[in-house]
Amino acid sequence: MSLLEIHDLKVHRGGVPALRGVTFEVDRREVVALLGANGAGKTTTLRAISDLSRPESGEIRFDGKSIVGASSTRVVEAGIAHVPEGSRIWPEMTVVENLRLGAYAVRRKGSPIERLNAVFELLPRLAERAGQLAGTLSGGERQMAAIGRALMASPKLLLMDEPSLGLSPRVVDTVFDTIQQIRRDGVAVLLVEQNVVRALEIAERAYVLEGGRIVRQGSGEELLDDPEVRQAYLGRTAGAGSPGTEG
Amino acid sequence: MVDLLSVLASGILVGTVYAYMAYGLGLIYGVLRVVNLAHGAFLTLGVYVTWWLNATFGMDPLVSILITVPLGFALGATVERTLVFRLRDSPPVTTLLLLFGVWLIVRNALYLIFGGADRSLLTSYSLESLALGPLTLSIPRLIVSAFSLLGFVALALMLKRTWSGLALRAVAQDREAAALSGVPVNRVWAVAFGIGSALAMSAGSLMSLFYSVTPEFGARFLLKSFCVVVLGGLTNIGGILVAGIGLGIAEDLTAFYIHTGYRDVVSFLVLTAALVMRRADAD
Repeated sequence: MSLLEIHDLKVHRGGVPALRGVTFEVDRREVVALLGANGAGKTTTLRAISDLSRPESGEIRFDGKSIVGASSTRVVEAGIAHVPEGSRIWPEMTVVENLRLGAYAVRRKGSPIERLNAVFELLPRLAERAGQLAGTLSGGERQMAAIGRALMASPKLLLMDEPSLGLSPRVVDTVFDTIQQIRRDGVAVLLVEQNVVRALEIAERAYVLEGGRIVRQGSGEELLDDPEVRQAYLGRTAGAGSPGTEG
Repeated sequence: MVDLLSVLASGILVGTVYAYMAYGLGLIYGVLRVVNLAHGAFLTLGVYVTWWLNATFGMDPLVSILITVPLGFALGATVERTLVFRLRDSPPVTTLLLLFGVWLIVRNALYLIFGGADRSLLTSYSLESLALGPLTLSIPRLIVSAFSLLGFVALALMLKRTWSGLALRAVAQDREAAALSGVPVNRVWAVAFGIGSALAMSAGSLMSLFYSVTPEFGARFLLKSFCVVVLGGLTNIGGILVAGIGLGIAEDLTAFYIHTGYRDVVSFLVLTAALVMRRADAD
């Protein structure tokens, strides 16, 4: 049994079908990438898991239990944390307040201080900025704060929506290093990324969405070598000039 | 000179109550993005409940805060759960009209129960004053001002230190991000409306010490609350305190140096000017 199992998921957005029957799964301690063009349904998939969009039909099972129709609060309590696109931190709260509130769903379990220290250890930059208003952080620091906030909920699965969007190459490196560290700590990651090469390099497996359907799936390496994927998402057929494919 | 100091002192004391009275309106707007036109109803209800408790049981208005706070919370949370919540996806004007309707119902219910006569209460300390050097300060105003400040401190601590306070601020700043962190947004809405109404009703308790009340009481003070909240920054606790005190001083200066009849014109003028300036900022 996989950690997350999604079966024939259909979601409408504004009356128009956005997902037309999507089936995939994420195993424990696995990074799975969800790729596709804009409007393919990547964000909608993550939103449906977190109950920000209600599915028309289909099944979402987490840890063996159905979570379709469960409130966002229940979803977080079950062990799914979500880093939304554009970080969405609370700008007029301090970094440490942002992090503390990330533990809202699990506030009666375990020690929030221990979790806070673990997050500071993983993202030392946040410790330096702890007392600062989150609105004053740089783009990269905001993303780190959003990741840290999600980890405060002690998730088994982390949903990440475009974590590298708009960040400088060096910060993008840090984000991807952090994702790998999160996996090593035993958390599965479902990753939506426009940086296809970097995503496929760290993902065990990946799915390609197109028009609300999954049109391709395979291991990260397979898709990285797939000529059609290269054509569609990398805009060129060989790895020349793309630093991500040299290693 | 002494006149001026007295006027300033009195303005500051009244201003803290204005701030306390207005804060609920700002809190509800910040968290729910709803303008609570029933705010005046809760203020009026607070004064009447306090007056009635005093007239019937001889209860001190300051003691009746222990009743108006929980009563206000319960009434506000109920109005949110049963009425406002149903319109959460409608255009803002729908909620505005709904809450205006709530106000009309409360106002007319008060006419039915208490009639239209002016009601006021008198305590043993109502007419006492304190001589502070050349200044004479009214004891009820001092007490009410101290209670308002106390209420502000309690509220600030709640927003800063408790899970509920953090959740309220998170929903105000980014509702969806709050939901993704497991904050039950629906419940936070009801709590915010409850706290805002509790503040309004307990402000009524405090104001009963120096205002008489008719069912029309709320209209005047809803306007002043708008003025304070717009001037102070909708959810900015410090800004609202400063704005409240500013309005209190401006009113007392006007009443003393121009004419008492112009006291209530000040809030109109300030509100208009503040809105025009905000508008200019936005452009």
